[in-house]
Amino acid sequence: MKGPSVADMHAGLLEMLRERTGVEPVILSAKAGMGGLDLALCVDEDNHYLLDPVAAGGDTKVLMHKLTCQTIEHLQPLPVQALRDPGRESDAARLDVARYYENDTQEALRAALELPGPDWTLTRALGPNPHEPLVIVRDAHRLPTHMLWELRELAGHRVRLLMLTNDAHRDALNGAEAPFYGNSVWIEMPTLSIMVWKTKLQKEGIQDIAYDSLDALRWHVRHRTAAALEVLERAPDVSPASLASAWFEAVDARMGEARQLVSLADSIHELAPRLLLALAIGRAPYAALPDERSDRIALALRRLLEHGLVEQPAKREWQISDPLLSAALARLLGHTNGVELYPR
Amino acid sequence: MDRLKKVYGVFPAGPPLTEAQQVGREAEITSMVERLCVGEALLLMEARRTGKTSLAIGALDRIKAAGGRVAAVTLTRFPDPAGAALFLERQLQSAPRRTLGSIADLIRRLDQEPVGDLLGGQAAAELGMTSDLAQAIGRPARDLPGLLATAGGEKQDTAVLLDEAHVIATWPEPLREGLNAALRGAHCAGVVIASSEMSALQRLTQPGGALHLAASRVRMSAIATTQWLGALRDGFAELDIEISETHLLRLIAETGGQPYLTMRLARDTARITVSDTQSPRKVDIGQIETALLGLRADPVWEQLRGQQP
Repeated sequence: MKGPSVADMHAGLLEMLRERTGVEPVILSAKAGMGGLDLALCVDEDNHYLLDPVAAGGDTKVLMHKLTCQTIEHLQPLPVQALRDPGRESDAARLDVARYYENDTQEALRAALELPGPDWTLTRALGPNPHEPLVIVRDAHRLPTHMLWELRELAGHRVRLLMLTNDAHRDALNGAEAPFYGNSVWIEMPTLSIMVWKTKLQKEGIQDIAYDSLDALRWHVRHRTAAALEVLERAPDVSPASLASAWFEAVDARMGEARQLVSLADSIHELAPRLLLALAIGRAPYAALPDERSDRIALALRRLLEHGLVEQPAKREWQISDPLLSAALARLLGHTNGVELYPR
Repeated sequence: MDRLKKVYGVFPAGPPLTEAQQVGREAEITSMVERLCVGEALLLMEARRTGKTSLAIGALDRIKAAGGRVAAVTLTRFPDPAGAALFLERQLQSAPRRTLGSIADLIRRLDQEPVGDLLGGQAAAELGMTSDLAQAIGRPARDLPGLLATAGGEKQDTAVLLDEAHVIATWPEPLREGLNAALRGAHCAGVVIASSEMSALQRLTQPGGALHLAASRVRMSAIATTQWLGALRDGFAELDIEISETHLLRLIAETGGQPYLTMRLARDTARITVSDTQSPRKVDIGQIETALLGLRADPVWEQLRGQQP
């Protein structure tokens, strides 16, 4: 069933982001499953760069490499690797790159085709773009501090800046010692009321959805917009049976990720796999691991929080951030549908 | 959108301000310029968002306008102090010198490429470059103390801003000692050392610290209500927005005249006014209250308002 997009659902916020990124750095706080990135990518579809420290594996050189590739792809029509090839077409493309980067051309090509040198900065990677591009930073709290300071300098005059994070990391970006203290606007991505959902769905031609079905769906995905839209998209129609089946399909789609997460989570902390599984079935972390020291559990939770895998809905309460992934993790333990729908 | 941009231009709150955008800092900038031009090192230790960087930039801009050389660096931007030194050096170089530096970089790289091997790693000499260029190629990048120690020896006035300077405390000891010696030397450039992290800076100014007896502390004065009144009145007039004296006084009273908060409250009030379909040209109490609601929700309010009377 083709439903609205995250941008359709949050049209007012999208307008606000377009307006405010034009005048000051914006920090968008969005919980997992809300679709913060989907929305951010719509702010300026033709003139943006994406910095994703997680996709870069936390390696700043890879991050800079990816940014330089994006810049070069904006400048000329060929894929970056084709710039190695001889020929008239690639000569013309290299000329476009050289006219843009001037003295930095060789370093830029090195950064894009291999890896950047140690003094290759965000400023140099972005080059002298006169059109004030929008730089979107996913999981901005994961960027090294020196890069945040550099972004702050760039944001004054060279780029528009939209940083994505969530409430748990406010201090790292906006706190009293953080680079964007008093130099940014903090905007939270709101959960939408059932009336907004009804109106938006009707606008997209989805008329017949029952109030109770919609309310249950929103509750199952903890009111997260993108997660709810994913379920709707998988449903052939709006009947309760179709929506329930779509929910299971959406959880099925996360099973691979859940298995991989459990097998790799010990690189975050030795206790992380056990904690993730315990939280997914709604157990309190300290009670779930009674044989472990509480300081070790606290450290493991903090690390999981830093990685955005868990969140604290209230003091001393923990849950897996992504509701669909949470249900997939619970299914790994053989938990039944009732638990899968919403562990808490 | 254009009107919003104009509001942010008239009441800038966030990035460093030019002298023209600052309120009540003219005398302090004049004094700072005089002291920097005789090679003094000045320590600006104030809380965040009081306008330290703007004050220093105002002084540097005046020195530059008078034909001097200036450079500024945010030290937290560079995990390696050598990166900060290079960044400053590039700003202090004249344009021809910068070009020479770029050519030198290219030649150095050529020596590292396969074609450079053919030239026996002596690309500059083989290509018949001048001795000056060859020297530029061979010269290692100066460290920050070395740069500051000699920068003041030039004919032009030279001033440097080291912002977020508390990170100096994390530098290796020889570099910290070198900085102390450079700042106390006879040919040092004028230097502004700014930071809000009092405890780190105080450690640096104690005996044995990098700034011990090397820099004089400069204190920033409060901005008088009359100065704010004039500046805010002019700002709203420029935006073609009517605002009463009572409302202006209310804005200043709410923020206690704290520079960032005052500018921010004026900006947010103007932003809300221009987007208010009911009263887009005249500030009313509802618009001020709405702006205050937003500002009070920002952690910056609690932090900065607590420091004001």
